[in-house]
Amino acid sequence: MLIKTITKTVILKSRGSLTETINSFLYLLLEKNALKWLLAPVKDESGLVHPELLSREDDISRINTIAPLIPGENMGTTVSLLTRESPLKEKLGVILRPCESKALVELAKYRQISTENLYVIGVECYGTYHVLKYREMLEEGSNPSEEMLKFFLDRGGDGGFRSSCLVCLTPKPPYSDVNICYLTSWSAGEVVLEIKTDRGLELVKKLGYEAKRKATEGLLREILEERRKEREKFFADAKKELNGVDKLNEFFEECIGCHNCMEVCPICFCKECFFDSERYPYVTRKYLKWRLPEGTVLLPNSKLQFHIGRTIHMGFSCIHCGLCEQACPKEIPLYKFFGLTAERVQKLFNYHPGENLDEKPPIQEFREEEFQEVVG
Amino acid sequence: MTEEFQPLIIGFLCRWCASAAADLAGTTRIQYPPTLRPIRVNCSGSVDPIYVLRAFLEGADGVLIGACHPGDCHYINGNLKVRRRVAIIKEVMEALGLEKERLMLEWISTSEAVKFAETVKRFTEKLKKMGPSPLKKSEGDAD
Amino acid sequence: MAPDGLEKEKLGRLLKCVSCGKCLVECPVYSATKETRHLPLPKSRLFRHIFERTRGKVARLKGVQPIEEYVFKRAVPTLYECTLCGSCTEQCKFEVKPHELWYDFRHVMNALNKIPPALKEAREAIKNDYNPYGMNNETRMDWVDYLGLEEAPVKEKAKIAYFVGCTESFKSVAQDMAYSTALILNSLKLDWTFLGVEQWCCGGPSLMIGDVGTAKKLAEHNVNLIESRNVEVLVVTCATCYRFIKREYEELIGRKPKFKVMHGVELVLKLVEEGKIKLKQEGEVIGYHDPCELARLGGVIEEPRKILMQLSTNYVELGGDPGKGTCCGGGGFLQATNNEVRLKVAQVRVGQAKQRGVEVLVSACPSCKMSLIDGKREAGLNLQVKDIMELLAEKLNLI
Repeated sequence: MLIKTITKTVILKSRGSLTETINSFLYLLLEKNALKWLLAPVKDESGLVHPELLSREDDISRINTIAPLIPGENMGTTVSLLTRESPLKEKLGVILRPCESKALVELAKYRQISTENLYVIGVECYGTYHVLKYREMLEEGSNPSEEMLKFFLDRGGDGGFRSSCLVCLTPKPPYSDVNICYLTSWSAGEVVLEIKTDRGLELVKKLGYEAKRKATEGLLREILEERRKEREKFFADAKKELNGVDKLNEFFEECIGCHNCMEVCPICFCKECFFDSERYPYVTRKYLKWRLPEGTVLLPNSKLQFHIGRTIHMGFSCIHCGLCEQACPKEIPLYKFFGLTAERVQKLFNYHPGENLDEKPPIQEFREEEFQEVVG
Repeated sequence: MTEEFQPLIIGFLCRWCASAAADLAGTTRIQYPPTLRPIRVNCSGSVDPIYVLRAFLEGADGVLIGACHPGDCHYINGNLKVRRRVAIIKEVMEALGLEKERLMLEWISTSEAVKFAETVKRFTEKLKKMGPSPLKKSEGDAD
Repeated sequence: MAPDGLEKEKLGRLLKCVSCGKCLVECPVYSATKETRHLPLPKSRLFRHIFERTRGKVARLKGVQPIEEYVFKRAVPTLYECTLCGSCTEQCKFEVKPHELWYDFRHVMNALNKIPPALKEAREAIKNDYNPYGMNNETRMDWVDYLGLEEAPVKEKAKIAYFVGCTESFKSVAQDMAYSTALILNSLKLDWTFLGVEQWCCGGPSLMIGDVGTAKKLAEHNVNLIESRNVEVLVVTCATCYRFIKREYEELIGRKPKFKVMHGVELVLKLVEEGKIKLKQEGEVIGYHDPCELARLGGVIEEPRKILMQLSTNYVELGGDPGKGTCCGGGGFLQATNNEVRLKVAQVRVGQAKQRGVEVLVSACPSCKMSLIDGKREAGLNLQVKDIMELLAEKLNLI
């Protein structure tokens, strides 16, 4: 998972601010008709970003690609909404951060996304804030994007990022046509476009850019090493915290069973879910008849069944975006649970979700000679 | 008044092999502990992880999945699918400290009545040593 | 297929939702049933799905897409098994105002004619008979005879008019409320009048069903009727009527009505403060249930409490901040769509009251009264449920 050698890059010289420099590239994409549509995070009047579909170059100035926030929905889910039923007829560029591009890959494997006419423009990401924290920062008058960049240069502490971001090992989208990189280069006033595919090369050529070979920077590698250690520690701690039924029950004590973690999960794409069906609340209903009318109480059983059941069902494809944790109204640190179990299962199958379209999910293939140890 | 702990095993038995083996064990009067509650399924590949999890949460001490030997599946490869699934469940159980030994997958063909009885016996002995399932405890703790 | 009547601003709000889930915590229907379809977020997700396919991103990219049947199948229980209590809006940290979106969503569903059959009946009843119960509107004042109210003025001109809501007029459980209010008004020798059989439904129910056209018609009729009688103060005892006349009429008819709207408790409190009504304290344990439309959405929170504290030395709060209590389950036509759910919600509320040792559970809305009585019966709990106007009439020795 170390950064591969980059074949070609394009250097964008500063056009003022960082967003303006990045947007100058996006502007050309629409102006030169390289793409017909762009799906990008757009800033609203309150300072939050939301994915919007743009086709006019005048709108480009509203785009904020570096805002360290995933607002409510993984953009992979948004792309799935757009391409699930039929492939695109016109060229659409989507601007995705690493975990979003990973979600896109996983969803494509389950045929929830058609990649035809779809151009993935990846954006480097050092970390994102919890949406409530992001809002707090806006209210306090600080600029989250600047804070993020500042933290990147200073490092030390956790910067207030979401826990899944602090242990993320993919600051660059593994699957994309072009990656917008700014973390290391912006201090020198440059934005680097990494060309990852032939389609990406075609795209930048249309814009009149000249792609040159360039070696990789070492700084991100350092970060990765640090984070790898952090990650091991994080999951080791999580394992201790979640060891056994009693600790699990304690962990999920506050859970109200709203299933919001499932609703925002990009991997949980099923339209009908067992856990929302009539059959699921059986455990609860059985006891409901015995209860005083103080409202329905969720049994620990029911909570365990939902969370363990869900992680068994989707864990192998979990792309570690941590949205489950952001969506929990009771602020349970859910990523500890889902991250830990997913990591274990993925290691078991040596599966790297979201990195390669050709790598099949563990439940889509099987071999005759494997897992002999689980039998008997 | 110490009664010996009798584990409760839920068995998901494939109708083409393990379930038939259980019948054969019965007709040939092979003795095995009365701890198993067999549930016949059309193919071991149809056993969803939720069934297993639910069995544990509803009070089973162990879950046995009886499947055809690799290559013998009536539906070509259902048994290989369930093996992957069992691997996933066991991995998750281990990650969460939930005694993965309580879940057992065994290849039992139609004629292997003795192996079937042996498997139940072995599994029962193992569960007796392990004691009641901790997952059982959470049942009914509704405060 | 594109849903009409949706303003851009509202849809902008819909897309602003960041799924933080804060709205899920206090949802009264979900706390009672623990069925995920009753939560606020599944509603907004379905609404978004419909919007994206008809006007949003999908439509822009690929043209307007048909809405799948499963969406409607799912939308009916999620959307209509909701009491429109507004607690989601109270919790929302991102100015999405979810409960207002549910009104718009219902509007869309009505335009597509996908509403549950019970609501279709109610919609037609309001349209034809001007009340949601499908009764002949000429019988609106019949309760006066049933209950033997001696003085029931219907004057051409009066300072105060009493707007008797449809529930108080037609439902025997709630008729006592109108009776008590009339007795109080009579005892004070005020210059007041009923609006009589010419009065129509306030239009709130139509808006809840999503039939904005009918709501407009009703609002215009009522405003013209009330203004033609030179009314200065309109008294209502139904929380739904109160909020709709006070807060929604201006938008519906496009101008500000020339009269003031007061809930019965506001009027009584004013008179108590002016010294025209004397209250004396007794020792019963009284708890007050906030009608959502009156407190959370209408802003009348302190007034009933001030009155009740003068009536009893043992006034207790039912838990939580004043005005932010759980819904009784009686709102949003839940009774018509799924009475079972309503009873579950009601039982929770009555249970909360019982836990705090309440002997008399007081509310200020006919729907709340009906719900709480049904909930109490269902749960087999022993406590009295009364409307605040009834309680006042009793304490003033009028009944």
